[in-house]
Formats: sequence, structure tokens, C-alpha cells
Amino acid sequence: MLPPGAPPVPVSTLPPAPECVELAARIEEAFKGKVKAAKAMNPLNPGIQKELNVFVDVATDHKALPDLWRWLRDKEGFDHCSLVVAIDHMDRIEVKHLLFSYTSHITVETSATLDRIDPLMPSASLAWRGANWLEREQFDLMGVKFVDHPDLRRVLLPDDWIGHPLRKDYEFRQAGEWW
Amino acid sequence: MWINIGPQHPSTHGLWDLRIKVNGEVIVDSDPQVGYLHRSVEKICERKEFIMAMPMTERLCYVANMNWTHLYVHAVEKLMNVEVPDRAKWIRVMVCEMNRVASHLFWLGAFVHDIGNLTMFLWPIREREYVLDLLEYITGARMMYNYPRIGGQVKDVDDKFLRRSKVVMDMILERTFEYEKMLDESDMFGVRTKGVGVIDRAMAKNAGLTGPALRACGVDFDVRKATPYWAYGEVDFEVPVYDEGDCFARYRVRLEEIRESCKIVKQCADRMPEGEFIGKAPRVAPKTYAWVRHEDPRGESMCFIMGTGGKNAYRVKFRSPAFVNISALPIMLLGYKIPDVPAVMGSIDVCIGEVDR
Amino acid sequence: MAPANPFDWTYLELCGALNDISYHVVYAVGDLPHNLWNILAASLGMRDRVLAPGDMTFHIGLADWLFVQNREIMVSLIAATLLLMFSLINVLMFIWVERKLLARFMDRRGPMVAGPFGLLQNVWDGMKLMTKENAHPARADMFAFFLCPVILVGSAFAAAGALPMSPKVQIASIDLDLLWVLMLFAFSPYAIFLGGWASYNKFSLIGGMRSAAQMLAGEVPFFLSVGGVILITGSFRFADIVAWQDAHGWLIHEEVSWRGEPGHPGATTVTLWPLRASGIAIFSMNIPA
Repeated sequence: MLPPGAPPVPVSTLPPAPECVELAARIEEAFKGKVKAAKAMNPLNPGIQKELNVFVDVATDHKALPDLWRWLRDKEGFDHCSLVVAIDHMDRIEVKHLLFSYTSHITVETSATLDRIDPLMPSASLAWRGANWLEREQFDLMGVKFVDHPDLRRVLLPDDWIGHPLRKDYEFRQAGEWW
Repeated sequence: MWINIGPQHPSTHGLWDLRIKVNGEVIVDSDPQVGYLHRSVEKICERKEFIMAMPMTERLCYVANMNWTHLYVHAVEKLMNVEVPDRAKWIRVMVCEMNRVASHLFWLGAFVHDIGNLTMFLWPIREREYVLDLLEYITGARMMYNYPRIGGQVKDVDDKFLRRSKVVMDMILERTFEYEKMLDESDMFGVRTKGVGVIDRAMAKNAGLTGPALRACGVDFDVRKATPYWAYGEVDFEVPVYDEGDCFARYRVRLEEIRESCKIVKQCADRMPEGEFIGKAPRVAPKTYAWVRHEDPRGESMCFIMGTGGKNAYRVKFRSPAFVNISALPIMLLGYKIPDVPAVMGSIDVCIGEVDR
Repeated sequence: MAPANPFDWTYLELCGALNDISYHVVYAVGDLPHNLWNILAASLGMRDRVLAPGDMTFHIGLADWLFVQNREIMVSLIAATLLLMFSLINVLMFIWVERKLLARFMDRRGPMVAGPFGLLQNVWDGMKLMTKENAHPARADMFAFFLCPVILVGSAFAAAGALPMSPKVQIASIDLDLLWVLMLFAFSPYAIFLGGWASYNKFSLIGGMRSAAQMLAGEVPFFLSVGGVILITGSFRFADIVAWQDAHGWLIHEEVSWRGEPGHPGATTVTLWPLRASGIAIFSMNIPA
């Protein structure tokens, strides 16, 4: 699958927008050494006239994430947590948080790599309440445990379900399912 | 005392359970339980080819199908870097806006029906029938349209459709003024919706509330204006924003959105460019990922898709606006009474198909 | 003998008229009851009771037995029939009017196209109601559960008995007619609460309490407007109220608002309030308490 740290592609040959470049530079400066990479992207956009993206890769060093999120929310005005998605590559789990700013319309994508056997990572629901249920859903379906999440329970599946269905090695009709 | 409103309840508009903790009649806490309609759409989409998975996305929000299928197809096109012809873009805008009109009309009927106004249930449903007839004319189905393909649309629209849609949209535009008179001047409706279910701006932004509920709190954010896609950059429309943050403001935002969507459809019908309605698309996707953000009738919907280099997707994730809006519901219910629950639940505009996936 | 205007008849004259009609009906029907009686008597072996052809003693005796000797029972039967007919046809007509109005407001098809003036809609509605299943909660108290609608409908029909059918004919009229009718209306909150209590279900109980509260709250404006009638006419009896209106002009022109404008609020209230009590959504009926 995708090697770790791969940026979102397909990428256009045109240079990214200046505000994205500046934001990426500010992130690099504020979190020097803690963040592995911060890049402004200009993805190829068939059908979309305007899209501003910044990709931040944290890899396995998750301690910077709560500070990064709070910095983005308070200093840079990223009020909205759009999406939390966990992807099960066979050797690791990658969790992306997509954050959006209502004023500058920039989307920041933070990407964290987690161990597949015991996936732990800090929770963004302390910074944005909107991430609460999105993270609960990723816990429910993929098994990612968000440390300091206020209410980590299953949301879509019944409370006594065993297993995490969206994993690639989830077997149907395994022990615990009665229908 | 914890009371269950649902899972079988006529005013929840779907199969979910709102557990509220009441102290007499006053609500002190609530805990929505969803998942009764979970069909593991995301897992199924991993096993099917891209176009075979498109009917699964139709059943996500069955009231606003066109928006969800086009969202998925747009994400796949972005992943494969497929260029869509101009005519297909304008057709997509037209059809998605018509479905937005139909969805908002249905919402209006169900919402005021819960408040108690049965006449206002039948009038929007009657208008929606005209829109559904139009969509049946081009797609052959009233609800599960199966209209987009990777790279364009499956069938072209003809002039009869364009002429008729202008007539229908004119009629709906006139009748929204009747709805406005009926509901704005009604004391009963005002007592039940003004000042009920208030959420303030900062909390709404933080809680992930999007769509008409957020625009009713004073935040001017519409994906069609912020990150325009297809032909939305060239169409002339306004975004209604109100400040109060109560049920009445949400109703006003959606009513005016119906009018704006009618105007958009009429502009599309006038300015439809000639040309192809479908482009060439490969069958395999590169080993990368893409995401797309749309303005659904319920809020901001996103589709994240990752390809494997083969015919299937590796991971599909849908961000459903109603899912996050329901998570903001406990904030809106705090301190109000049990009879206010149908009003607030209805004003959020829940469609359980997309909440549970 | 009998007054010329049928509206001035008493029950005696009414029974006399029915006697005449039945005589003519029997004569028109002819031999059939005669033959039936002969077959019955002959088969039972009572040869002395067999009638000769043309002998009308049996029929005259039957009519005499029914209408002269058991006058009281026939009077009660006629009164009950009149009461039920009046109430039921009243109900039908009100439902028809409501359906027609709602069909016009809400763009419904049925009452506008079914039958002349939409009257067949009532027939279909009645048939639909008759064929519905009588469902009840499993552990409900059956007697009390089915008593609730019986009390509601029964008290409403009984109230119709106090209405004067003509200056001479009243079915169940007493000196304190108006008080009797208001007492019958006061049964409704009790009956609804009884129905809610009898179903073994806390949600039904809460619902019953709320409905009863709505009914009770609705009694106050009704009683106030009725009080105006009592004070003006000076009597509780319906016949006296009607006689007062005959002499002094209709009360609907007298009822004024508290500023002295002829707004007819009392008349409107008295006419339309019983509709609210039956669940139609006027005067804030559908607003949850």
C-alpha cells in the first residue's frame, strides 16, 4: 500500500496557493522537530475551482498532536473538525484528522501512524466537540483507541459487539456474532 | 429518569433512539443512540468496483440521493483524475439543486407535521411530487435515480426537461411565499419554534454543526461558495444567514434555500452548454487517496476514498452531516421541555440512512 | 282533536299517528301476516285461534296492545329512537362538514369526488371503522379500558336528550337542564384519564393525564359563556330559554364583548367549544400541555 508519510496525490504541477505555503511555514516554525513534515499541496482538481490544502505528517510521535490542534484552533482560527478517518494498511493504522477554517477556507490534514496491535492516539475531541462522535465511530469500526476521549463507546454497532469490522482481517461470522 | 424517544416513534423521522434524562418535564441530559440502520456501506464499497458501489451510496440518504451519488462519483473522479465535460457539470448542478428542493420540501412537511400543522404537511409534499415527476422523466425512477457515472451522467437531458423544470421551479417559488405567510403569521408555530433549541455561534462551530443549522447561528459558510465545485462558481445565488440559532431561524434558512435553489435550477436550464454528457474514465484507480467536500441539504458532506491500483477501493469513508448534527443535539435540548423535543429534532433534519450508513 | 301543526303534537298524538300508519301498512301488506298467524295456530293445534279470511281482530288487537295498553314503553322506544337518530345524524353531518373543509384546505381528493357533495366519503369512513381490529394492551383492565369510550359517547348522546324537539316533546328535560348538560360534559376528562390509567403503560398514563388536563382547562371559557345565557334568560330550562328567545329575539345578537362591541364571542364559544372537546384542533387543542 502507500508507504508511510506519502502525501496526498495526484498533485498538480502548479505551485500551491501562497496562504497555504505560509501556513505550512508557520507550522514548521512553531513545531520544529516535533512534526515530521508540513507541506502545502495543490491537488489536481477536476471539477473543483478552489481548494487549499496543507498536509501535516506526525508519524508516530503523537505528543505534538494535542498542542498542534490547540494551536490551530486558537491561533490560526481552525474552528471546524471535518473528518476523522482511520485506514488499515496491513502493517499499521493511519489516522487522519481534517480540520477546516471558516475564514481562510484552508483544510489542514494531520496524519498519524499507529501500531496495529494496540492503536492509541490522543483525542481531538478536547479541542473540537465535533470530533467526539467521529472518533467514536473510528473506535467502533476500526478499533483505534483515543486516549482522553470523554466518552469512548461504540456508536454504530450494538454495545456488546466483539471485533472491529472495518479491519482487513475481520472475519465474518466469527465467534460473538449470533446471526 | 431516562426516557426513550424511539426507536419506534413517529416524529423521529427514522430509526434512532433519543434517550433523554428528564427532571419532571425539563430535560437535563440526553444521549442519542444511532446505529439501528447500519448496513456497513463502507465495507461493502471495498468489495465492489467503483461504479458497482454507486447504488450503495444512493441508499445512504434516500431523500437526497442525487447529492450523495454525485459526491461519491466526484471523489472517484478526483482519485482517477478524470475530466468531466461542461455539460455534465451543469447537469449535475441542476439535478443536485432539484434534489435539494425536494429534500427541503419533504423536511418542511415533516417538521410542521410534528408541530401540529397538518395542512402544511400536504402542500410541500404536493410540490415535491412535481419535482419527482421531473426527475422520473430523465432517470426513470422517483427515488433511487442511479444517474451519475464516472466521468459524467448516464443519460442526457433534453429540451422538454429544461422547459418543464423552469415552469415547475417558478411554481414552487411562488408557493414558498404561501408557506411563509402560513407559518410566519401563525402564533402557534411561533410559540413552538421561536427561542426553542437555541445554540450559540461558538458552540455551534466547535460542535461540528454544518449546513442550515450553522447558517441559522450566524456563520456564513456554504461549501458551494467557499470551495466551489462543478458550475457553482458561475451560477448566481445567495446564501441565507440568520442570527438567532433557534428552530425558527433554521426553518427560515431552509425556506429561503428552497428559493435560491429554484433560481439556480432556472439559471442552469437557461445556460446549459452543448456537448458531451460523459467523458472517458479508466477502470483502475491509482494507489493514492482523495477527498471531496460537498454541500448536502443537511450540511457539509465529504467522501474520502483510497484506491489500490485495482478496480476496487481500499477505503471509503463518508462524512455524514446529520451524524455530527445529532451529536450536537444534546446541547440544543438542555433546559427545554419534553414537548420541545419534536420541534428541535425536526429542525435538525435527520436522515438516518446517512447517519448510520 | 289533534292540532293541525305536527310540531304541536304531544306523545299521545304521535302514538296515535303511528297507530294509524301501522294499520294502513298492515292493510297494504295484506294476507301475509294473516297467513303466517294461521300457519302458526294450525301447527300448534289451536283450532279455535285460526282466523277466517277478512278477520282483522288479531292486527287491531296487536296495535291496541302496543300503542294503548303499553303506551309508556312505546313512548320510551320512540324517544330513544329519536335521540339516537338525532345524535348519529348530527355526528355524520359534522364529520362531513369537517372533511369537506379539510379537503379544500389540504388539497385532498376523497371528500371532493366521492359521491354527490362528497357524502359517500362518510359511508366509506364508517365501513373502514367497522372493519378495524379492536386492539388493547395485553395486561390492561378490559372493563375500564372499554368503558372509557362508552362514557365519552354515552354522555354526549345523553346530553342530546335534553334538547327540546318541539314545544311539547322533550325527551329528558328537567328544571335544571343546562346544569345537567354541563355535568355530562364534565365526564370527559374523567373518562379519558380512566382510559389512560386502565392501559398498563406509563406512557399512556402520562398521555391520559395531559389530555384530561386539556379538557379541564377547556371547561372554564365554556362555562363562562354559558353563564351569560343563564343570567340573561333567568332560567336553566331549555324550553324556557327557547321561549325567551322567541319573545325577545335571538341571544346571538345580545352576546357582546366586554367593551360592548357586538363581537359574539360567547355565541362562538358556545357553538364551537364542544367541537374542541371532541378533539378537533381549534382553540389550542393540539398544543401539548
